[in-house]
Amino acid sequence: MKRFLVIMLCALCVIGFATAGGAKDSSSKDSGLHGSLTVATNASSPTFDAVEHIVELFMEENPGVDVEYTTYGSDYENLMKARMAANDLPDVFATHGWAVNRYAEYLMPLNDLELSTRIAPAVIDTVTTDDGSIVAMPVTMEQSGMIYNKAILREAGWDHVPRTIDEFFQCCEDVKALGVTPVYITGKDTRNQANLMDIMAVSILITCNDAGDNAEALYNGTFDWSKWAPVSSLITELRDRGLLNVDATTADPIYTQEKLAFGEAMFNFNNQAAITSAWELNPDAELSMMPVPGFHEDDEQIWIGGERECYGIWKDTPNKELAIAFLEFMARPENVKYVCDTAGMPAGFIDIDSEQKLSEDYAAFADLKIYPYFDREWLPSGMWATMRTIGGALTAGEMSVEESCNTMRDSYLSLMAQQ
Amino acid sequence: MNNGNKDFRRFFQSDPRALTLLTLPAVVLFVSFVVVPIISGINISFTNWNGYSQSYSYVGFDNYRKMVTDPQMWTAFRNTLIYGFGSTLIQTILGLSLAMLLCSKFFFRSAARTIVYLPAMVAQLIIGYIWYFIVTYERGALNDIVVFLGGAKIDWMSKGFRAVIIIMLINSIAYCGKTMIIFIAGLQAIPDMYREAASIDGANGWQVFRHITMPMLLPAFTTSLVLNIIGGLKMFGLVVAMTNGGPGYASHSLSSLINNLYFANQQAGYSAAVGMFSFAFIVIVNVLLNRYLQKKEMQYNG
Repeated sequence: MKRFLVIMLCALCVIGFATAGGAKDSSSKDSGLHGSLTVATNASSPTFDAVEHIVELFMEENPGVDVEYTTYGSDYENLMKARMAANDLPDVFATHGWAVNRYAEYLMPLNDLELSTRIAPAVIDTVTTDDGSIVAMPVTMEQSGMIYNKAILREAGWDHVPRTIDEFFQCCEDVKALGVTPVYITGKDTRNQANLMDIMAVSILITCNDAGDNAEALYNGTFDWSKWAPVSSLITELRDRGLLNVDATTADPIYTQEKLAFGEAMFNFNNQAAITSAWELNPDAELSMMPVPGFHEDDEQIWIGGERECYGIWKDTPNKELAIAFLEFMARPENVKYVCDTAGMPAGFIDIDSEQKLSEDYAAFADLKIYPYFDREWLPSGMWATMRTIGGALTAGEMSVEESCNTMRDSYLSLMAQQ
Repeated sequence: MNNGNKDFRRFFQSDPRALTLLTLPAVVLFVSFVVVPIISGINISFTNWNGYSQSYSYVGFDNYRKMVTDPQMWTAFRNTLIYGFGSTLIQTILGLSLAMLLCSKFFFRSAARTIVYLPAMVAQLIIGYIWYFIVTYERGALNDIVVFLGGAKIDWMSKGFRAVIIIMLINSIAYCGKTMIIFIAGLQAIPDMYREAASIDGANGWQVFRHITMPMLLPAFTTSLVLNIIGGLKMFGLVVAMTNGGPGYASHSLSSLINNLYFANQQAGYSAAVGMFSFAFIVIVNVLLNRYLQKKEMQYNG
């Protein structure tokens, strides 16, 4: 028995030495980088999985580096606000559309890095502060409008996507006649309603031919908020004409994937990730993204865009060198392409030949202009929550259009005063 | 070691005031986690802080003035009263009835008590999510029953006031077990001889309950009412899980509104002002309630 134990002990020692030797071998190949890095995001699958793969590749290339990549999911914004208040942020974190308006004072400028010269022109302004600092790196960018189902559109007798808001309502009526839900909204979360208003507001208040000086007035705080009425009215009209799902006020977002995947809903207000997610359930679903319709007959259709999976470096991080190395690694064309292909999102960098199911559909509207989200460009940070509140209340009939305008005005003035 | 213990004992025996040092850990915790946050909250309530920036300005009483005219604030306050007092009323009735029932002897008594108490051990958020999938329109268990009985499906949480009442009822049902345990303890503390004496004197069941059981349960009432009212007035998890304060802001409690204003709306200053109001309101309600119930206890106990 004693001899057996001695043999086992020796065997363990041999294995231990061999393993240690192996580790030494691999570390001898490393890049010289050592330490640990925390990277935080709000991404969910498939974007999270794609970036996680890149993180693993980075650690393989730099065995001395340990990257803790975590998603805070829907709690991300709240947790990041608490961490900003404490001035204790992750080394690298996702800025999810708010690189400039919310996170800029905590981010390190990236202008000196080579990657900053490759950021796509369509998105570079959204990550650049007024003093010219590029504060975040957009791996993917958004090019959003309205999610729609091409098969249902054809069945409803349409050979083109609605070009104006009037056409959009007509299309909804035709779809309703087929027994399909024209617009699917998940009101328990209210992001859908806020997103609907967020993209339509650009068309109604900024890009339409009679927009006048709305943009300027929104910047300087003199905007007449009664002009918001047509935006809120979109929701009340959809509701009153029975064009929303019956449970629009209370439906949970978990149902969206299924409704889109199996053709139970025509339009939805989400980004491309919702389409990718629906394809996981039904790869044959004929889903696509269409541009935001114009307000009037002669108004142009538009795309809404900006940063999507976008990372910045905390300016006070003690791991600056590691954080820069990580961002540079992630910005390599093959890595950007991998994330874009997996997430089904356009690249935030130039010269990335990304393969997506939606590429052809986007190409059909390649000449349309891309505008930023309404709240990110023309409203003070914090108005998204107000839009969610009024969106939910309008859907449920708990608030009139006029009250929604007043709520937007009050919240806007209050948040402008903070700036 | 022994000498050390003796010195330690001698130190506390030499002067009774030294014993107050033993309260030091509690005082430190209380100051760190109650007093400092309250003072900090009062300070923030006079600012326009957005909740994350390193800078802010003082705005005087603006946040408190805004509360007076803010419909969200008053809707949340009304709902908080419903959550607080409505839940307390129903929980007390249910808890007392269950306690009376489960004090009588029968085979599954212990198991029945455990089953009734079980939901009280589950976090409010979890209870909320479970109930959400019961009352939800699509594939909700409640609607399945409605359809089975030949009715049409109902979107239960789509109307603000109805959602408030449903949340209040769910809170009452989920936590009546806690109230039941308090009343069972109270009932078991009542000596049988009082009831027996009353019965011998010819009192019927209701009279025994009204004149013996109820007065002697007053301490249990005090504990249960205070705990339930505080719980109801602080309602947060159920609201977040079931409606997130919606539709619009119609089902917000003061706690969920504070959370929404602070994090989502980025109005930390205003949120702190609402928080101060909520804190003051809960303190006042509990002080008044305690005084009233203690006076009643003294009346009955001579």
